[in-house]
Amino acid sequence: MMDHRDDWPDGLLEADLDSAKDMEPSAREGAERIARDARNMDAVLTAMGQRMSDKLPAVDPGQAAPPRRRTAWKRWTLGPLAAAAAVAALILLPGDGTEQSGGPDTSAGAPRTPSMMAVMDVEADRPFVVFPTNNPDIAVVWLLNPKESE
Amino acid sequence: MLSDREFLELAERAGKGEREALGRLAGALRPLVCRWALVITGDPDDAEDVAQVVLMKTLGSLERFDGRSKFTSWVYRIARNASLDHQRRKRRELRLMERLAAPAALEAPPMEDPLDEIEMKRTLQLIRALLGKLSTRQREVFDLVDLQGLKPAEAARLLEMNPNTLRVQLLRARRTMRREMLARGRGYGGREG
Repeated sequence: MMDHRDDWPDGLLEADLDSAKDMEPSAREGAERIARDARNMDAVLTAMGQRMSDKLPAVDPGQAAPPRRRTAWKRWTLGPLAAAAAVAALILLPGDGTEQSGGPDTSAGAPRTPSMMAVMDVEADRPFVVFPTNNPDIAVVWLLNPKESE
Repeated sequence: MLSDREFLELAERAGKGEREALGRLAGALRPLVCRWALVITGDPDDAEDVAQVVLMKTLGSLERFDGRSKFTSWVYRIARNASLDHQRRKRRELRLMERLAAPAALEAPPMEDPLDEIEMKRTLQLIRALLGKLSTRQREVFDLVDLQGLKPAEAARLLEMNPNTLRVQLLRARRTMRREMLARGRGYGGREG
């Protein structure tokens, strides 16, 4: 009957070393080396496991499964979304559309706030509200949850 | 290490809410789980993360252990699933390559009967080879059978593998490890040249 370690070529593990007595010296030395390596690896892995376990924080026996980040994320994002049902976006509207020409506006005398556009993925039919401000270049746009707009 | 019977008794008491038993069970499982996680993930940092999750899961679901397998086998499967989930999430292979490039990634652990320095260095090199050159499945099989001494049939049940597939994986792992062991033996010990 085949031993489960028979197919370990000429390297025999510790328990089988007696059967290597008749091997030529170099082969026997190789077998002994492999056996020693396996024993050392086992010892070192066990020691590493022990050392790692010493570093782990104690598990509170009364604690159930660890909190999952995804749950926290959901609570943080989906809660306010459902409750407030709105996303606010501040858009700095260009006064004269010069950003579309690709260059800065150098015609006006006074320095201007650089123009920029918020980039968002918004459904085409999503309800929204625009709040003008006392700055003609700035408007506040609220994107509403469809349910709330009803 | 506790016997399986002792693990079982502790688990039963812990399952009934005995905090002292739960604490002892956690203490006994920690090093085992860490070692398994290390071998499966191939990365000490990942292993620590996984081990913590496994302990929490295990201790939080003791009532699900049905006694049809050894208690440690049940925990091993939890560790294995958690490790593989972790690997998938973190693209372990890439990180592993980075870590293997850093010589300090695996440090020599303090041991009661320390191997001498050369022997320890050699052993750590072999463990790097084990973690870096074998597939996850080969690492598990090699560790369970050749290092921890399980019979292939036991390991196959634990890993839910066909025994013949396990033998193939074991043979491949042994070939690789044997090559590493013999290659690193040259120049060490004097006589092999």
